[in-house]
Amino acid sequence: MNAPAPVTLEAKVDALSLKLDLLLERQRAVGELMDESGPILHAVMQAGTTQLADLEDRGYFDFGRATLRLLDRIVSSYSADDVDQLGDAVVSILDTVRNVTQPDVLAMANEATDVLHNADTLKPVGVMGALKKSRDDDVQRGIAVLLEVLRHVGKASAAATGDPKQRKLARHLAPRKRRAAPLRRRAPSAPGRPTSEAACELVKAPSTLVVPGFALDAQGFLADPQTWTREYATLVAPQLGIEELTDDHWTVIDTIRGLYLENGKSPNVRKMATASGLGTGAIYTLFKKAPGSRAARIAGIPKPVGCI
Amino acid sequence: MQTQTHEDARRVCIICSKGGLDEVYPALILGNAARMSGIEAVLFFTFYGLDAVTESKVDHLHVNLAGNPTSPIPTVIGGLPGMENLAATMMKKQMEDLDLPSVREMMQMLAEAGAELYGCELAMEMFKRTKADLIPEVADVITAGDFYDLSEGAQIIFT
Repeated sequence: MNAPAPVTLEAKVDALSLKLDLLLERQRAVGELMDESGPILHAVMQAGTTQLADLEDRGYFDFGRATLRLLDRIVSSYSADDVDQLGDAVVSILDTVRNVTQPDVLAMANEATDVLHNADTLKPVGVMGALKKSRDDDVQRGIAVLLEVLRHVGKASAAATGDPKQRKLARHLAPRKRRAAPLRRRAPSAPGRPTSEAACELVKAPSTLVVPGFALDAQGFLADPQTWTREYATLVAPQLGIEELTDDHWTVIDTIRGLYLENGKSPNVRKMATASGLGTGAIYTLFKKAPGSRAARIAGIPKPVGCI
Repeated sequence: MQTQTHEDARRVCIICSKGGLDEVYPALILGNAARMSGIEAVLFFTFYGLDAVTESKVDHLHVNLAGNPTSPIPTVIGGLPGMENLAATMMKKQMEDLDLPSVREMMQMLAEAGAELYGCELAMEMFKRTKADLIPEVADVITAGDFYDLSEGAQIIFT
């Protein structure tokens, strides 16, 4: 038991002493390094601080502080999304910048700004003066350039709003389509359809309205409007295709009777619509075809005349 | 008209090709009278008649004063700038006094009475208009061929 122990112990001590030596060596090296680098560091610090002081004198730090403030304002005003969107446009922005900084464009801009700068030396011109000035070649060229600019701006703005004219142009360029089927086909004349002679007969055809106790004229209108009763209306309406007289029907009937008794003339469809307050569409729905005559028959007043 | 109970009633198709204030009324009155008598009516607005169904023009139709043999104002005076406007305003006032409806109102009456109003496709292209430029009463924009389809068996009146 005692035999291996002193071997390992000795070995350990040897190893330790070796390590210590290494450490000391290192320490010494570091010490030398520090000694040598001392003056160098000192010189560097000196130069560094001089340089920084110089920068401060020249205003770099003030500028930097102001820039940081500006950056702070930008960051707090815009969100990350805005920066992303800017990124999307950055290529076209750079293109525009490149175009604007072309030498010829810059020259034009310089000329224009020079003139604007010296604008106070120009004399005012009226309409006639403008016409006279436009005879100058340069002025004419300038006008052409500006008009062309306007045209491009207009084109761009039309593209931006999805101008319907652009869509129409696309439709013109696309192949023309015939309608697949005709719009609407009515059946050709059915038997019994009135010819022109027969149509005239219809207008003058004796009416077949029958209302017991009341005298009617040849076309089915009440001979004497004063003999009208509400019962008459309820008897006549079904024979004219109106099964039931609703409140709206009665509103119209009362209105037109009132107008007839007041004016001595039966109102036309337009007056019926406005006086009853129901509107033309409702009149045609309530009294179907030829509402003026149909309502007049029901209300016991003469047939309305007039074109409107 | 209980004697007209069969379904195939008369049908009339009216073409309106002029745009003067005095020139559109015949078509509109014929259409309205047709509806009042129970006759089906189709109105087709082409060339300058398209102005009568264009939203921006329907309230500003004029009467032709220059070269119009029936005009009470001689051409020399009628041709001066502003005279046409004046005459149109006077005519409109006269129509109001007679209780004649304005063109816009006639269109509303026609549409509510069941007449069908159509614009001409060729005229739309000529005047560079779209359906959105027309009054809402116009049902559709059709070609002459479509108009013939619609007028099968009907009477065609050209104004």
